[in-house]
Amino acid sequence: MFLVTFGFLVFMAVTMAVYYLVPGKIQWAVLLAASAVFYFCAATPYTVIYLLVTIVTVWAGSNYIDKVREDSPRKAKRALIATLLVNIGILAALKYMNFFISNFRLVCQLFGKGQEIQTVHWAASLGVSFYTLQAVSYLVDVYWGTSKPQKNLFKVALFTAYFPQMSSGPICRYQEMEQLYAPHKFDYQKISFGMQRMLFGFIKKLVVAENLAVYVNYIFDESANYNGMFLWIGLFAYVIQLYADFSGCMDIVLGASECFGIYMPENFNRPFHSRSIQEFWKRWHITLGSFAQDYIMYPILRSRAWTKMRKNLKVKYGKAAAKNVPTYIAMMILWIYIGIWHGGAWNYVAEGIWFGVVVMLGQLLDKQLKKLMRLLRISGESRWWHGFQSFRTAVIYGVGVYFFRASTVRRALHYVKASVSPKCLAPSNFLMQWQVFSSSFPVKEFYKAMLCVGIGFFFMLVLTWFQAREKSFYQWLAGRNIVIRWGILYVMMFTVILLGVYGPEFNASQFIYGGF
Amino acid sequence: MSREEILRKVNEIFWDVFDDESIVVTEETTAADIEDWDSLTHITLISEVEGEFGFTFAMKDVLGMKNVGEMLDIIMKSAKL
Repeated sequence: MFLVTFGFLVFMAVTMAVYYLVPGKIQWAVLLAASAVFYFCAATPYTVIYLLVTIVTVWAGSNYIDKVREDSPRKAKRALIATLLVNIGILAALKYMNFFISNFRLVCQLFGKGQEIQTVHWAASLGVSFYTLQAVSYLVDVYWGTSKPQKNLFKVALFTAYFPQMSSGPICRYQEMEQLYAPHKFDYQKISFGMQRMLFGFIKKLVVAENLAVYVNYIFDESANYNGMFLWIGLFAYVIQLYADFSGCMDIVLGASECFGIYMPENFNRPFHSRSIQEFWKRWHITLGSFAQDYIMYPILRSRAWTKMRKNLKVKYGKAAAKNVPTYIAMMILWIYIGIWHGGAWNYVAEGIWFGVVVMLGQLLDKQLKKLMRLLRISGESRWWHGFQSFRTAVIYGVGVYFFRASTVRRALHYVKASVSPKCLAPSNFLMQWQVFSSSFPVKEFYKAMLCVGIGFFFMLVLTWFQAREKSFYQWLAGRNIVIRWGILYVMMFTVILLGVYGPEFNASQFIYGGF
Repeated sequence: MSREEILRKVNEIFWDVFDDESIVVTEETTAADIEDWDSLTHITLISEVEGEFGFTFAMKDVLGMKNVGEMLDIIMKSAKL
């Protein structure tokens, strides 16, 4: 059972009916039972063991840490490290073991030792990359004293495995999710807003992302035939697909959760409005970026090693070096982590390094750029400059996406080279490739799919328009008369039914970020 | 060391970290008042204050501090002045 199946809608309806019929005090238990059912339907059942280990160790670890934190900080630190090792160890084993093995093999070959180590085929637990980070953040919060530990093991289980967010996030903090245990009264408006948000998610995923997927996959899979402008268009389409897919998934997840009266943090905030790549990552997959900042970069910057580095640099090279060098190294670690979080492969590492280098250069050249702008009398607040900055950010992100989309670094570099080579950018080249492309698909089908994408995209723009003005589309719709309100909702529903890609051949499990 | 003296020292740390000697901090100054005061410079600032006053902030305080006044409260409580 996945988020974009009819089965999920039936599951939601049954869970909601039971949830609002039972007393408020035990509503959380209904969500826990539903999460267990969801897990067994969506995942390989035996992988539940990994999830159970996380739940039990985090529950026990957090309560022990809280007990000894004041009187014996050393014991608390040891308990934190032990619990982290177990959970990060599971994540590393399931997700990165083959990456380690293949690199180990490579090193052995380099030194002329033919080590024969087979790669492993372990089924990963559903959403392991998401729930492990969430559990880690809770554990560390208890250690820092910013959260009180949850005494009830089953409530920890619900926090770790709450079904709407399980497979694709968002990565929530414990304080944000304590609402899970509170009673929630039936509220027609909250539920209808939640369902409308899910409907938007279905439009983004089934109408926009899935209609684009066939053509985007073709261009990238047959990349030997495509380059120059054609590849740029493929990249542009892939970025739209990726955004529609992931943000659509988040609309379904957050909308489903709203139906239970539980509001999770947003994961997207108009990312393509960003003026810099740093800002972009504060608007795209927000909860991953803030996790990496709070639980990876901050502790590194505050570690003894970094304090020592700062002191040494101050003595030898002065204040500026002491301020910047440790920060840039920590930042690089953060970006490599964000890259490798997506999977154990060098292309993800390269993606992280790319974004890290761009952010670092942006900071290093900031003063010079501002000087140049003053010299050229460019106003930083003008609309066209903002437009240029957003375009520049999108292109930089796009280059990162080449690394994300490619299976190897070499292939990603081929994409980059094929996109910028002057020979490839010639208009005649584009026309020739268009002929190859249009002979590979029935042209009518292609135009039909693009029309569907256009209509779905229109709905996305409407939503963005409301977000830009900090208004709620759902509130606005609720204020219309019954004919307009239901008219718009029917149009949206029929858009999904008539223009969406689904049916027996559609693999509903394939949300791009569900794979992480 | 009096609160005023601590504030003066903290102000000097702000000049260093933000590379701007025109900054005047008060007890009410928040991150919103200084253009470059983002999450990264916040950590640098904290490290510099720790170095100057010889103590370590609890992470709870690092994340929860709302203005310079609260920073002074913690310094007065934790530092050996």
